[in-house]
Amino acid sequence: MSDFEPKILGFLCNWCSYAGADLAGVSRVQYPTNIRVIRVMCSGRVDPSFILKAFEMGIDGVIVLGCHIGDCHYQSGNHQAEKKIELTSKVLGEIGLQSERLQLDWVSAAEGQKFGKIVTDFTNKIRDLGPISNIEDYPKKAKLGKSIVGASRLRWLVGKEYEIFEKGNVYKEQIDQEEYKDIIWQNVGAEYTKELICSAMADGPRKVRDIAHELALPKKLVFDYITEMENQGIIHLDNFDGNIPNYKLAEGGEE
Amino acid sequence: MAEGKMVGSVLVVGGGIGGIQSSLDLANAGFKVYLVEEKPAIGGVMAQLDKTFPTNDCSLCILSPKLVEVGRHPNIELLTYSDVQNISGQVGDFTVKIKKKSRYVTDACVGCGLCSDACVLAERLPNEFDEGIKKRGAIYIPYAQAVPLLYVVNESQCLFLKNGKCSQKCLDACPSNAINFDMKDQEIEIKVGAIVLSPGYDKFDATVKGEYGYGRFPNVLTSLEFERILSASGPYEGHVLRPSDKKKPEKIAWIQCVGSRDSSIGKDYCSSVCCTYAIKEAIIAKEHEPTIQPTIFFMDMRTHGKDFEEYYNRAKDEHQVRFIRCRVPEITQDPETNDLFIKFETENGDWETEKFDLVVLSVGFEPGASIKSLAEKTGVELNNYGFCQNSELMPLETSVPGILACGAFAGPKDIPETVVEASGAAAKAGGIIMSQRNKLVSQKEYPQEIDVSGKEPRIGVFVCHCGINIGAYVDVPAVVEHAKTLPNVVHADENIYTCSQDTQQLLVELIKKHDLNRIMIASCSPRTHEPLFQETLREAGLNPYLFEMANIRDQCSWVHMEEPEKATNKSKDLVTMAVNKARLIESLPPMSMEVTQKALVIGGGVAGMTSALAIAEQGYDTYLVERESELGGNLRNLKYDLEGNDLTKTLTDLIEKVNARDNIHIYTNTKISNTDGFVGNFHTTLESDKIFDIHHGAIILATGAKESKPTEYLFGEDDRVITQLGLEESLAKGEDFKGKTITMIQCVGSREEGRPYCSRICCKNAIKNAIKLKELAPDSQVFILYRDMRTYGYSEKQYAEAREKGVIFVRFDVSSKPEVKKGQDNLEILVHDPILNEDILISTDILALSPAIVPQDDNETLAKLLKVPLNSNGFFLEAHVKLRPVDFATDGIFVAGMAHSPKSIGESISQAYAASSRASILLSKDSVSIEPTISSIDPEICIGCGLCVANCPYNAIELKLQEGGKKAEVISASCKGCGVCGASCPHLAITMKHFTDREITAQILAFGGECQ
Repeated sequence: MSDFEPKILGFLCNWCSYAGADLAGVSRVQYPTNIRVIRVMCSGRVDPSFILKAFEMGIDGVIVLGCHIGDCHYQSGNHQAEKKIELTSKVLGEIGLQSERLQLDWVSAAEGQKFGKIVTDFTNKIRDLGPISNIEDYPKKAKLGKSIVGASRLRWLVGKEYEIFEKGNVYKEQIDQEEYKDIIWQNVGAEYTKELICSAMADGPRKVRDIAHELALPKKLVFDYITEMENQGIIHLDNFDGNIPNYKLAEGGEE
Repeated sequence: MAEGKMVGSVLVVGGGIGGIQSSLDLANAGFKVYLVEEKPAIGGVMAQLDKTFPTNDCSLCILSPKLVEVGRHPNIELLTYSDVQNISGQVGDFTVKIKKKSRYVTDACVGCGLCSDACVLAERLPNEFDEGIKKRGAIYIPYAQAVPLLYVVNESQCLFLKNGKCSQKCLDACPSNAINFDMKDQEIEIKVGAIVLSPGYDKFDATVKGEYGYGRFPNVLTSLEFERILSASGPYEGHVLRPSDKKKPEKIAWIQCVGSRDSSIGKDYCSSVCCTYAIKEAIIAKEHEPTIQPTIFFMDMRTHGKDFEEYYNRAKDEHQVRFIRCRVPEITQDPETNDLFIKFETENGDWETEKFDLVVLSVGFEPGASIKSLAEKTGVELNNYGFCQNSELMPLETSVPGILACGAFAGPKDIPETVVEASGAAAKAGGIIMSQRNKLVSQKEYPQEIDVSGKEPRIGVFVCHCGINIGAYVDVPAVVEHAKTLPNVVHADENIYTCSQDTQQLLVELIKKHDLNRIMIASCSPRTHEPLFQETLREAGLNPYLFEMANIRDQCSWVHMEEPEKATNKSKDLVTMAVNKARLIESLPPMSMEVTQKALVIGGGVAGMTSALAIAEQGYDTYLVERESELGGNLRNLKYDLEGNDLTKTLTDLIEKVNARDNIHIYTNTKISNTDGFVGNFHTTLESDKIFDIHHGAIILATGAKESKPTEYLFGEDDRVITQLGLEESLAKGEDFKGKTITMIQCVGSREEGRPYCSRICCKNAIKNAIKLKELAPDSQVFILYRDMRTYGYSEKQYAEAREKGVIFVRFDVSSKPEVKKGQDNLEILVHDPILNEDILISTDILALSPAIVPQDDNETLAKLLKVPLNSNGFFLEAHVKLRPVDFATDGIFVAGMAHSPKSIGESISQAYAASSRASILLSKDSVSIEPTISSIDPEICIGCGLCVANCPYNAIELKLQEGGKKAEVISASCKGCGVCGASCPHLAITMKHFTDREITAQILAFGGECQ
């Protein structure tokens, strides 16, 4: 395991952490060579789908670094990043891609030493975790995860989270943050199930009970999701086998 | 003032950071500038520094873009290696004779350095830039990033020029025949309307203090020499070594006040910057070599600048820098080992001797060698110390009308104060010749932009060696070869310095020659160098956004110095990723918005009024808003200053001047209730007895600060406990203090937990009132209880004067603050004197406290309203503490006065002029260009959910009724390009330009091995 050199991808915000990484250079802080950096203007720019894409490509670890809370050049972008990374970690766990492979941290423009330490520690952590290719079907799992984080309802819920808890909703109501989180996690579960159902239909029309049997899910639940996706135009009724409907994926539904 | 004739150009003397800033401000505000520098290149002392305090920014990295900007500015004529010979005429119309010394090298020089290597004296003459530690030849370039990048032959050193005898190998070595030994000095004559003097300073000659052994002991260095040693481009490539044996030193001592605060050598001023730079050098040295144990020997720790005290605390607590309060009498040396011995007094009064491996002398400022002759030529008066004579209330003026002064020439000061004064002097100069704005300047012409849309990308890749910074660790040729294999790359090459001026010309040629339509440069950081390269693209007719960078220095070669092979592989990956993105990047058309040529100044104190006046003098309408019923701010409570000026009169005069201007519109009793808009186009709602809107292009925030109410020392409980302002009022009223005892306590609420900063002005104020007391009532007893006397600059002299007048100074530690009790008739103050190690009991009639200066209560509200940041202490935070001291990161908004941090009246005035200069640059334009790297929303996909509207921190997205219902739309001028909206949009309707999903994905794919 010791000769394994992980591929590490870093997303760094331009104003703090990228500047901190530059300072590490100016200060000659030495750290492992594994990291490759993509500069974004704000850590809040990092779309969860980028992270899943990276894992799909066989990158072993992804680190997102932003300004310290309160120091965001764009005032609240790092709060948004926090919510997005929280979701992505949850999804990684759900699909079996090890949420430890993703890390969010804060590095200011003056923290060259800290940048070096974070990168060193993260690289070592991923080295210990081993290659992502050890995970069976990791590209397929990552793709599935990418579909989950791309679901519009989830994106909306996560995008709204910071505003709701910082400013209250439009009715100035206090919403319980735990309750809200539960809603998000339920949606992660729901999107995951929907993606599994779609995958089950990948090879042609299927019946509700067959899918339910294959995925070990209650028939009612599978039926409800199929109806929902039918309404969204993702799934169509194909034909009837006697009285029993066969469903299939809409043409061009998958990217 | 001479009527009629006015010349729309300015002479700036001195090419350090001050002269550079003045030149850029003036040139950008529509005036022609002649920048004269006696040395072969601009940059001054700042270019020599390794880092800058208190942020530890790399000095040259932040300076270098400015050097290049000056070098390529169409309205700045750079006259390096030149001297002012003679000045005649008067304000508005000066005639100046300038001697351009012969360089013996023509403009054909490409800066390759082959001549220098070939010179028979190569590596034998001291290199001034490296303080003589490194050597050079008789033909040389001061430093690698020099502007102009032209070699120069030192006439008095070159063997051929001196004796006529030399093999002249340089001539053969030069590939561009740029060396010409027949070149003669040239004299030119120019006409200017105003003059800004910024010739800087010299460091104190440490050999004068023979007791420290400088010049005799090899391991005694000046602070500037040590700065070069710390520098990665310095003589030891950034390794901390001692000169005698090139061994790593473990114990390094800094000795403060060498050539400062020393009346025995006629230097009884404080150089103001040495305490903080010594702390910086100690921290950086330790960062380089964690085993180093730094010790700083000082008298008073003068970290009075913004965030400096916190820096000092970090040095003590986090970096374990040892501070010893003692003026070191002498240094001795072990002649065998060259180790050094310092004798000093310990806290309990014993004398000890300690061995050090290296000693750094914190040398002070003294007037430059050429200042005297410059003063003679200009008629400008110098003060006793040989610096420019100026006054607290007119900090930018010299004794000659039309000639302004800034920077260390006008007294010792740090970089941000120099930059402030430089901008301020530019505003003053601009005010004089405002009628000639835009008369002598030419707009930079760029070639017609080539339309690359739909064209197959033709990428040019340039990999930089950065001297040895990259090339010594990364196999640059291998990276170039790798780049050649990548799709769409049609040209790949390496450069020694891709950022040098001659390489920019080369890039333009290559873009044309190979029909390149995307450029990818692998070098340093886009944070420092992207604007420079983008400018080059424009000069080649390419849209500046057809550019991408790979950071293979700061984030590769410098951080993987022990692993060259892996660093090379990483560089290749970074190049692949950048190229894969470059294949997708597109031109972004420039966007511009009209400018409303009016300013809003918030706050009617000295900073606000001065700002308003300066902008009005430049010819622009100004709204001056004050929340109180009358103008004046804190100045209304101040009666006199250390120079003896009558501040009440100053205030009346200033108000009169402001009232007299037709183009200043004053609103007292008025609050700002809302501001929106963006640079050039702000809309502000003002609220007084009525509510109304104003439109303006710029904002200057000058809301000041205030004296805090002490919560200790019986303040509020006993009438005999007052503040310095209260004492000043009593003194001004003529209250009788005969035979009384007055005690002052400093740092009340400053430099403590919860409020860590130094309030900067209290020491000077206490001295001012103490002297006044002694003058009015010579038999009064005055005690000042202090922690460090921070009488920086010339006020050190008044500190001495106070001592001479019998004021008694007692130091205390924050851990044992004075105790105040009500006695029978008097107040009793018990204070522990650490020098005597005894408790002293003072029976006092009056206790005057020096309370902290605190931010205004509504700073947070105002910060939210204007969307500008505050620092952790609640003062407004500028865009960059060194080089953009009065700008906010948000364009079009500037800060002046105590809203920024506590400061003196003179400092507030300078800053007010600086802010007005920055605002005038903007107001002098009809339109302002805005960054096109913003988000855009596809109305076909948008469902109008409004998530982006709610999340945008700049209110830059609004829902608008369009075909198909409400859709989100980006307000281009307000968008700052963070891209949060793009990452959140539930329906992926938002594209963040220049950081699109496709472009970022392309980088990920490339790292994953997919780049085809």
